[in-house]
Amino acid sequence: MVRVPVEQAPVLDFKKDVRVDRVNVTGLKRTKDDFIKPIVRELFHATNFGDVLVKADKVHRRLENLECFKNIEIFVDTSKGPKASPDGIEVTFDVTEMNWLLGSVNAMAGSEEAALVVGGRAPNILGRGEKVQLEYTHSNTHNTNMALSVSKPLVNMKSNAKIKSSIYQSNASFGASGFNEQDRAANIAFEFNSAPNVHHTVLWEAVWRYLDSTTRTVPMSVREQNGHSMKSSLIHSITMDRRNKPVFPSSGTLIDITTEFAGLGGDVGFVKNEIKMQANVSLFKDFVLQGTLQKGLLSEYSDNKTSHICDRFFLGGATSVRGFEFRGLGPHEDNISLGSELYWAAGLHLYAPLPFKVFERNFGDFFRTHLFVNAGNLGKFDSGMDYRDFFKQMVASARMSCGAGLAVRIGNSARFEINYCVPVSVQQGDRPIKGCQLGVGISFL
Amino acid sequence: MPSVLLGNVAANEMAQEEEWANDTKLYMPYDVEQILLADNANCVAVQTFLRMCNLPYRVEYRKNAEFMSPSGRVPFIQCGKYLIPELDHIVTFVNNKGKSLTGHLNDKQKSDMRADLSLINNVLVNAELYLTWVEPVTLKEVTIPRYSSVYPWPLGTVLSYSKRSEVIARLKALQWYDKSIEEVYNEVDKVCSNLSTRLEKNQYFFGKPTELDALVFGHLHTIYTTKLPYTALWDTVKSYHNLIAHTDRINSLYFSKKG
Repeated sequence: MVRVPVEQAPVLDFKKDVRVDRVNVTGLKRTKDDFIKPIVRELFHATNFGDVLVKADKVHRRLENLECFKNIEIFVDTSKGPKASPDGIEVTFDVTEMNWLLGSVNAMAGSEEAALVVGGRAPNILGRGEKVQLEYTHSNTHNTNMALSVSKPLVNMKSNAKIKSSIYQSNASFGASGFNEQDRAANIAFEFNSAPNVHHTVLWEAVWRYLDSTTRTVPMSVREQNGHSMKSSLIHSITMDRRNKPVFPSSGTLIDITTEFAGLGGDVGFVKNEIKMQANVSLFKDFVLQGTLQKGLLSEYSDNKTSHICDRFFLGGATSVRGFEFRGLGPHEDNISLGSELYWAAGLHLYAPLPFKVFERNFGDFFRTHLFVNAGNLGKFDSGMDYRDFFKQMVASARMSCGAGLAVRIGNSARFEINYCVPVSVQQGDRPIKGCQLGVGISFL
Repeated sequence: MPSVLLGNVAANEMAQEEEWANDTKLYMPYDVEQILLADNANCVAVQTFLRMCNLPYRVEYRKNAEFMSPSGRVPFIQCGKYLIPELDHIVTFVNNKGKSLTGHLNDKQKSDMRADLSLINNVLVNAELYLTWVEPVTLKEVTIPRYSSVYPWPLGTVLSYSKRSEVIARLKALQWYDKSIEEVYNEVDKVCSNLSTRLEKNQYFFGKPTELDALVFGHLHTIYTTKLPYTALWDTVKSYHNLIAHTDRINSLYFSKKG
């Protein structure tokens, strides 16, 4: 019997009717059989050879998503033995289980800070994909986070469903807004895909927040929010990512919608909705035109339960509207950024590879140059206002900046940018940056 | 008008040039459902002092007043662009604006007054904290329901016990935690005896109303009006008739509603 990996198979007839007689999964030690069976089951529904390969790939991805195995190889062969049917196929998955305990040290970056993440995890401790993870993050700006989480994939559901729960404590300092925030929280989440590339998360979270002032000169409107509050909320987020790549995509769209309802208990109550969209169009050669649009709305629904400054939206920064300092756009008081309840932001980028084919062979894929225009506005809708006047004002007093720069891909999800920004439209109180701005992060405008 | 809020040192230096702001606000916890013994005493004392000085102010009740305060203690006032917490700092701030209630005192009297103020702050305040946070019946029936009344479950309970640990740590450092309840009442008795002797048959401690009268009134009035499971605290105080008369007098002079 010759085993041939799928990639090197000789020319085969993909339309040939076949029947999957057997699916073997080898290499399982502590993983339980009943955990794997529902995943591989769909192979038995394949009717022709091409279908077998497609389904084998799907099963491969589902096994990968379990995060229990570090290596999965697929072998497809004709079925042998006494029970073999004519045109019978045997598919074998050879997996290597991850160790009981894994440690990791990672570096992580956001728009204003870099952090070290140290963690340990036990993947698949009870044999059915249960994962326990402990992670500590410490940033150069002394923001810290400690989180303990447990998760388990629900394999009986076809949709890559997972249930996850964590408790964490984080300490963050928002000097631009004049407050420090300490959060202690517990949450439980249910994640699933309703369609390929459409990922849902339904989360309940309770957070005990403590705010205090960063300096003695913080204005009263921020100082009066100091103290303890408790937020218990239900969050639903949908991500539809149909781009061809997460970093420097050349085609496809991304839509991200998050809705939060706070107020099931606790003394914080609001409804918050945020939508982010990105579309990419390939132009001639390697030039890509990208448009992004984002909007957010926070509204309170009760007199007894309110929102706090830490719930509001802030705009401005290297990963937000470029050409402004971090949280440098919007209402300010004594140079302290107050944030607000409604925002819109848009960006238009023209990405190009490095000019003159510099490094094209070796590193070219890591770099892009881009020209951009970013715009946005942040405000609050007072109930006394006429909404048409309000919308006109939100457009008329919009801030805008443009510029050019270099973007560098980091890994598969993050990037670093260095831009020369020219703020074109600024309102009083804003903190614009004319000149060089650096930024690191995962999600940019 | 810029609303930069300045710290004490800067405030006292710059305050001399400016008049008292007519829209001065005094921030304190809710007095009916939330505030506790020692804080209430200080809030009443500050209000009495401001009334004695004829300085206008408005009370702002906030459940998070202690977290808003620059020193973490209540009450604190916002006068123009300055935030000043606690009676001592407020007295200094007012004095720097040229208004003083102790102008008629000689140096010996001033130092006697400082000694009395210190006695009250070191003994009466700690006794009140002991009764509020250490005495178990008071803790369970009065303190925790009041402290947690402004927070949702379970935050109120968590914060109450967290505050209790903080207070106990402070009382341990000052060697008050290990006293018995009788010892605490004895200390209160000693203070009252001292003050009563100082007051004699006079209307005020030093002829005219001063911050000492305000602070004594703050504490005694609070002790009188706060309902506790045990009346022993009030019983200790009420035997000093001249102090009670002093309290009544200040109350009717500065806090009775006229017309």
